[in-house]
Amino acid sequence: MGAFLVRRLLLTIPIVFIVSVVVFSLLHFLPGDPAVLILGQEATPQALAALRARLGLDQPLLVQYLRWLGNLLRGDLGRSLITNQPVLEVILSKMPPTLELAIGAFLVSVLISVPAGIVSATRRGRLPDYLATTFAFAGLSIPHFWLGIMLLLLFAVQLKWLPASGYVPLWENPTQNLKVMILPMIATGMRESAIVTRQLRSSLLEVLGQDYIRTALAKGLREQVVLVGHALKNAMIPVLTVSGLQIAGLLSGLVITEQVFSIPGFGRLLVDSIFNRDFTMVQGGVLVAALMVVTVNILVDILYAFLDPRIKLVTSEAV
Amino acid sequence: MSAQAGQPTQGDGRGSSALRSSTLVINPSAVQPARYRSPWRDFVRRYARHRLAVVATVIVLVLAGVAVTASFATPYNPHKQDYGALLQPPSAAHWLGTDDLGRDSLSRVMLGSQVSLAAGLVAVGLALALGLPLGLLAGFRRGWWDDVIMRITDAFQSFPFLILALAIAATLGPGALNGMIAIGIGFTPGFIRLVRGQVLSQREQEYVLAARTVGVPDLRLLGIHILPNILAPILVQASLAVAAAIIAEAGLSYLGLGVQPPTPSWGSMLRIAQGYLTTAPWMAVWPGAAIFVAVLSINLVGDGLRDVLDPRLRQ
Repeated sequence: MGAFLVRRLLLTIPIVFIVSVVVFSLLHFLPGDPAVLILGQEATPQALAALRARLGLDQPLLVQYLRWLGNLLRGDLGRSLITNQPVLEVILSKMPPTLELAIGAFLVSVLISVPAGIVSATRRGRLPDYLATTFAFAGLSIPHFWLGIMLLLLFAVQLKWLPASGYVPLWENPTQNLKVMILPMIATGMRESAIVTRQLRSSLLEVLGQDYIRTALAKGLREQVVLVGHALKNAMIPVLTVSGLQIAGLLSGLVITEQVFSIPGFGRLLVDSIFNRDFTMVQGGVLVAALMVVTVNILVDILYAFLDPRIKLVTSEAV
Repeated sequence: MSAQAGQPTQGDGRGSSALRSSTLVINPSAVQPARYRSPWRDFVRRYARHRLAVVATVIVLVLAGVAVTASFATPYNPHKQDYGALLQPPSAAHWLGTDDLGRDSLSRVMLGSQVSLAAGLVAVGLALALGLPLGLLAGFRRGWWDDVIMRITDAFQSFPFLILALAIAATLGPGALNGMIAIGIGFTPGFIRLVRGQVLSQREQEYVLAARTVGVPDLRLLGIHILPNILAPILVQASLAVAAAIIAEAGLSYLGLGVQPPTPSWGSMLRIAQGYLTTAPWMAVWPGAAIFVAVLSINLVGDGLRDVLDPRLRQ
């Protein structure tokens, strides 16, 4: 396990390096002079020179990158071009609603997909299977931000059961917080649940065809015991991986969901920063998002190896 | 019993005279040559069995027809503002109602299909143009080509797709084409991975070894022999990616980073509609429903293609 872990972490180094180069390049791929683009055409030459010096744009590219990377390793992502606040501090302050939304969406997806996947696989070819697969197909095709708007229309505008906006932190007012967060959690979790339902159905069908399941049934174990104790345990391994790997999709989804439901999270910060031309904030946000995905992917790989020793052996040899 | 002319030889279980004499008499006129069936007809015949996919194909063709003709065949001028008909509900005059500037919603939804379908095709076209050669190179050359290409692919896959698209759109500036480029770049790693995997599975096949043995040049081997054998899963993936690109474009436009006004797109229409949920809720229904129908149909077509072209992929 130790060797596997080391190899897996070593593989991450080039990925993180390339991620850092891409993020660094963002500012330098801006068409024209970044300082003029940020400050506008009317900016004085002195202001432009000051900004170039502040961003290090007057240095050779390699020096700029190494300086930027050095700061990064010390946890310094620079300062906002608009508010002058440290970028990392602002990003971290916007994370709680985004993490709450991500966890909630994940729970919604599990609550829907596990029963749907089980029913679909165990009643294969019958009505529940058709209903579950139709749901999964529709869930994959529906734009989640439109689903969010439709949920708002139904529950906030027509029925007036839930507020349309007015986010408060969980620790300040849990009830109000949940009232605001439940619809975005459902809207974002729906797509994930569709993906997981399909995955669980197919892996459960595969497991249910295995000899050890037949043996368990032949020795007289009840169907439910075999399903939960034998089949589901093994079928959940690929499902877990798929769910973990959805983190990138989930983060993408949250950017728009936060916009639809006016939640002041990480995604909204990113979009606002783009419109405010706060490029250091955009750089920092993109980097943090990519590093979150890299970290979750490592954790999923480790968990996978932990749950299924066969994978560990194969991966260790393949790496 | 003997094998007679005009009758196929058959054993009766007790030993026929033909077998006893070790002579098999075959009437040439009774042997039918295997009927040639063109691959295209075979494909159509098998695809036609998928009724849902056929219905979805018809819907996609209708949508494509609407997109092609929308510039001149909408009921109203999609850009014409009518201040006497602001936020009208659906009626005989305006089937889907009007928006905040009195523009006909049906005409705008029809014109919006152009952007969405174009986004799907351009983004996936770009992803294929980049992903196909890089995937072929990585899978066929192996070695450091493979290492470098795959590490870059891994790195790009670490960026949440929409956040990468946002960053690219922010760098290049908002706009329809920039949005499509951003989505295309976001999809490229998926195609590189798929193509590489397919090439890896083919390169050890006997027909590739045989071609190599007789000295077929690499480029010809890749283009003439390997590519046709890996096209099916790529085609399936491409069709599903078109659907995902339509949702992604709508998302970028919803955020204001895709198509810019006054050109309508389904995503930007949703953004405007959200401001009028209490006074004109229908405005938010149509563009989203259009995205849903388009994406669902294309996904069903992709699923049908997968069943017909590559049944192994179906789980």
